[in-house]
Amino acid sequence: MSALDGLPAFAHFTSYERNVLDRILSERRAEDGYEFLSEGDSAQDLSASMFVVLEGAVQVLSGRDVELRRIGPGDVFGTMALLDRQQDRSATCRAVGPTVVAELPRAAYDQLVRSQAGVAAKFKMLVARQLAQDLRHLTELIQRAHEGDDGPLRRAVGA
Amino acid sequence: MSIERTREQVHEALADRLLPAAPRADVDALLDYMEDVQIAQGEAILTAGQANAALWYLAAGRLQVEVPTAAGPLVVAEILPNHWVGEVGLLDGGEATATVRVSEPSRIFRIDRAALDSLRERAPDAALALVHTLSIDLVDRIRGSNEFLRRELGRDEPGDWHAVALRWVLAGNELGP
Repeated sequence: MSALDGLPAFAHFTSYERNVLDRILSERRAEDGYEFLSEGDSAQDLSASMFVVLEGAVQVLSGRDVELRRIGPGDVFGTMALLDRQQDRSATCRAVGPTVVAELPRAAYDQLVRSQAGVAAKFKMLVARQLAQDLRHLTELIQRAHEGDDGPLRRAVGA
Repeated sequence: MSIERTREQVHEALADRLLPAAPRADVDALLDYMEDVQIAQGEAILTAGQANAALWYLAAGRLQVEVPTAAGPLVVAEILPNHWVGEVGLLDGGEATATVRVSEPSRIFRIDRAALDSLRERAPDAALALVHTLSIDLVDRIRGSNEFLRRELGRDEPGDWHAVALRWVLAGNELGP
C-alpha cells in the first residue's frame, strides 16, 4: 500500500512507481493554521521541500492573509521554488483544518532523478501539469478582466 | 534565416537554447520523437477553444499568437525561432487558450502526448530534461505575470495592460508583437 493510492492525480502511476515515491516521501500531520511555507523564505538549500496534499486542505496565500487559492488531496505545492532554485518561496501555504501531507525534500528528489529517471520524469510531469493549470487559470482571469470583470483577477494575484 | 535547416542545425539549436544541460544522446532521442510538420503560411497550428495535446517547436520562421475577444482576434505576441508553443495543452490536456498561426514560411516540429510518453519509457533522461525546461518556462511566466499584474493593478489608474498581460501568460516577456 502507498500513501498515494486512491489519489486521482497518481492514478496513472503504476503501483511500483507509487511505492518508489512512497520510499522518499515523509508523511506529516498538521493542525489547523500550521504554516508549511512562508512567502519570502529561502528555498535554496537542500532541506527545501515540495509537498503533496494527502488529506485535508491547504490555503495558498499572498503575504499573510490574502487567499489566492485552496488546494486538496493530490495537489502539490512548494514546487516553484524547487524548480527555480534561485528564487525564494513565492507564497505562504497554511493548513486548513487537520491536514496530512507527504513531504519530498529536494535532496531526495535529486536522488530520485539519479536513480529512477523514469519515475522522476513522471512526477515532474505531474508538477508541470499543475503549473500549466495555474497558468491556464491566470489566462482565463486576464481574458475575463479584459471583458470588464477584473475582481477575480485582483483576488488571484493579491492586488 | 532559411527554413531549410538540417537536422544537425536543429539539434544544435535545441541543445544550445532549450536543453543546455542535456547530453547529446538525450537531444537526439527527443528529435527522434519529434515530427517535422509542414504547415502553410496563414494556417493555424493551434486554435483557441480546440483540443491540443501536442508541443510545437519553431525551428525557423515566425508564428503569431491571437486571443479571441468580443471585438475580434487580438494579436498579443510573435513567436520567434527556438521557442515552444502548446505546452499548457500538452501538459494539462485542455483546450488551446490562444490561436497560433504561421505568419511566415516556417520549419516546425511537433511532439504529442503519446510520443512524449514513449520518450519517457525509452529515454527517461531526455523526457525529464524536456519537462524540466517546460516547467522552468511556466514558472517564469507565472512569476512574471503575477509581478506585472500586481504592479499594474496596484496603480491608481491602471493603463491598458491586458495585451501585455496576455503576452506574459501566453508567450513570456521576451517575445513581443
